[in-house]
Amino acid sequence: MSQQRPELHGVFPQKRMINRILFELDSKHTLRKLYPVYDSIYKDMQKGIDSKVPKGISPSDLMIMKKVLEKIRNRTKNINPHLLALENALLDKSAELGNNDAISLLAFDVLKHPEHNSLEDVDHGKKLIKMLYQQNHHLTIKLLGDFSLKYGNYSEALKYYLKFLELEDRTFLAGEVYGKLGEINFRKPNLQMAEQFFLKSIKLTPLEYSVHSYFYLAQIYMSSDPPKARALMENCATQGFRESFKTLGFLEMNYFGDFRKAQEWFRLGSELFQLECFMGFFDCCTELEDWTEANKCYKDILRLQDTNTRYKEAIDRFLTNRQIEVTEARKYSFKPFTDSKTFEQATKTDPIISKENKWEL
Amino acid sequence: MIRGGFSYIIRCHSTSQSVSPLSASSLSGSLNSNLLFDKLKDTYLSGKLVVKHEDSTISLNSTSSLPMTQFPKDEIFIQVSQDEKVGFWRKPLVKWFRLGVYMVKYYKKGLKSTYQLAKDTKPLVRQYGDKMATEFCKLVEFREIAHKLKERPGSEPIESLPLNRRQFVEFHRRKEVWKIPLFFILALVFEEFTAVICYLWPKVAPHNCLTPGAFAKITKSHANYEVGKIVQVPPYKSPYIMQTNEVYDILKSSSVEQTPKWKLGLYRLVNNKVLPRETLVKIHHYLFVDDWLLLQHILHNEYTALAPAELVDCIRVRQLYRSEEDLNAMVNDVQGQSVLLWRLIIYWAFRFDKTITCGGNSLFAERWGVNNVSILNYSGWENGDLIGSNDLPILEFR
Repeated sequence: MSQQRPELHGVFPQKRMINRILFELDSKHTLRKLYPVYDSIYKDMQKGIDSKVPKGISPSDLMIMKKVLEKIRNRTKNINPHLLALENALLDKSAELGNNDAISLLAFDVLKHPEHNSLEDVDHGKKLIKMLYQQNHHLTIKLLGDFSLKYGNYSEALKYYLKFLELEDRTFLAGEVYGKLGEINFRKPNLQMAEQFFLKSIKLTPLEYSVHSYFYLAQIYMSSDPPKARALMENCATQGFRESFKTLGFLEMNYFGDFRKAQEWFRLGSELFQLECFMGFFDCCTELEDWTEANKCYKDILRLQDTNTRYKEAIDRFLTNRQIEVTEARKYSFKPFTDSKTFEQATKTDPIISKENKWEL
Repeated sequence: MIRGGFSYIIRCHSTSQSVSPLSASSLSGSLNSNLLFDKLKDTYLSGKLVVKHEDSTISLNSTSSLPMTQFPKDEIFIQVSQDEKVGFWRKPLVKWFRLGVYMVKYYKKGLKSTYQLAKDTKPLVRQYGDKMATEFCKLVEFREIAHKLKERPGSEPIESLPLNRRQFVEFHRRKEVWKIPLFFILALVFEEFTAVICYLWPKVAPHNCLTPGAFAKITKSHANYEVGKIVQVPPYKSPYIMQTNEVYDILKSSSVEQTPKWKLGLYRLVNNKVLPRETLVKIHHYLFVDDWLLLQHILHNEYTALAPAELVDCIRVRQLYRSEEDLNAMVNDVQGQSVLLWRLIIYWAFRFDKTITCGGNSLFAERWGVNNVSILNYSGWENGDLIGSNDLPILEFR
């Protein structure tokens, strides 16, 4: 497997992008100095030997190198398995050299999947976490909060998050913690507190890491301030947040009355096979009297019903409520006329048919 | 699970529940199911909701920011007539002079109160900007959701807002302070005759410097001409779905946010669709929060006393009057006062019945849709009409 890896320069991201991220992460080294390290670790990883880190590169520099790759993964929404392996190798190397952040991350990784690890490893992981917690290690406290939240222990999570915020409250990580606190309060629901936390979260964290905060904030403002909710939701959509498309579609259709825009949002959502988006798209088409598209959408809904039985009830109810529109839409074919005589005849009897089929083949 | 609480966004285009306005026939029939109307009726008829000037509830009324409801001309004239120290030949002159002096003092007091109010509410401007009504609307929603999810919400009150109703309306009325410079110059130039200027152009005066005559002129120009002409409860319309002309008509007649004609003209000229609609949303939010605060007080307190001036203002901003009616004259008459209060009760009963605000189980936005401006000033009575003194026997029948 390892022998099949391509050369690093073939998979490595653009120099400009890396330099920008290094600058954002406040790295003391430039890519010129770091690239040979990336390359040597990558090559040693292929060979399966332990790599040597050059002098002048500290464990925290290795963590920065790892974060660069992680950021690229998040921004491009693309996972390259070779770079992911490199990321893990960097993390391992950093932990080996004694970086607490790396140790903490690895220890939690073991605890999250105890079934994939031996009992000894789990115990050792627990010991390390305990030790780091006693040292008030920031990331460990945050990860403890995340861990508690994952298993539904909200009060414990709250305790760890608040402790983390006592240690640092104006950093990128604090932004993530505010987002989590917002979610906990949103579930309670203590919406006023949740709103405050989400606002802090989006202030401290870049959009790609706080999409959830944007989404929840949009939900909070949905009925009191729809324009604000729309702006926040659009931010989510730029990150490809699945849930945002249908919400934006319904908002544009029902509140702002912009059926064209709604149609576009629904189109994006229906590409992700969201049933609500198909329904919204159909409604937009009927409102805009775009019957050919409505018919096409109707057929897609029926196809969806065949493939997914969970949708059956909802689709049946929808079609019952839209009987008149469905009957009208079914008159308009979205297939082109192959026979020119039929086409000519149709143009004489029904101008709409001719127009739709002539230009929208 | 989380999104479940907000699922109504999808339903915001229509009112899913059938809503019928109140009418004489529905009240006399046995099928009347408006629980809020029954509650408010009981409260009013048992004397827990009254209109009186003395001892009016402090947390609700802000009379210093409102104009007088009774012009003291007759009172002053009688006083002078009965004053033996004033010679008979001087009486006509003294009568008008004293009235003039009274008016100057009234204007001075009005200006002082307007300035003081602006000064007192300045910290709130820093806190809320011009979005107080929207912020409060959001807070009401938060509190109502929390109240709904309580295990036994029962009849206990919903957590209150950070400000009471008096502070809320005072914040809204603070914008009158911008009229002071011009009015001050007018008062300096015309002295006692400022009353005449205010009568001719009533909008130049701060609101609490108006005479009943000038006030009547303003109310007439902001009357709702749709009264009695709405056959059925209007379907859901968001400000953005509403036709531009409809939006402009509402803005022209609204008393909550008075948009000058030049501003509307400018919006039309540059084809600005957002600002007029956002103003409409502001009006909707203001009325909603005002209604909510009043209802919370009435339903969860033993006694509520509205000042006559405050009742007149409530009716004015909700446009629950006909153009020919003199609200000040009505509020100073027992029967008229009763009519005004019943109009307000019917209006609330129509809008808030079955909502969490009054012990129901749906949010206002769930019941009516998000920012439903089509029912902005719908009276709640049959055909969108207003009740008159003839309807009082039916309403007050126990």
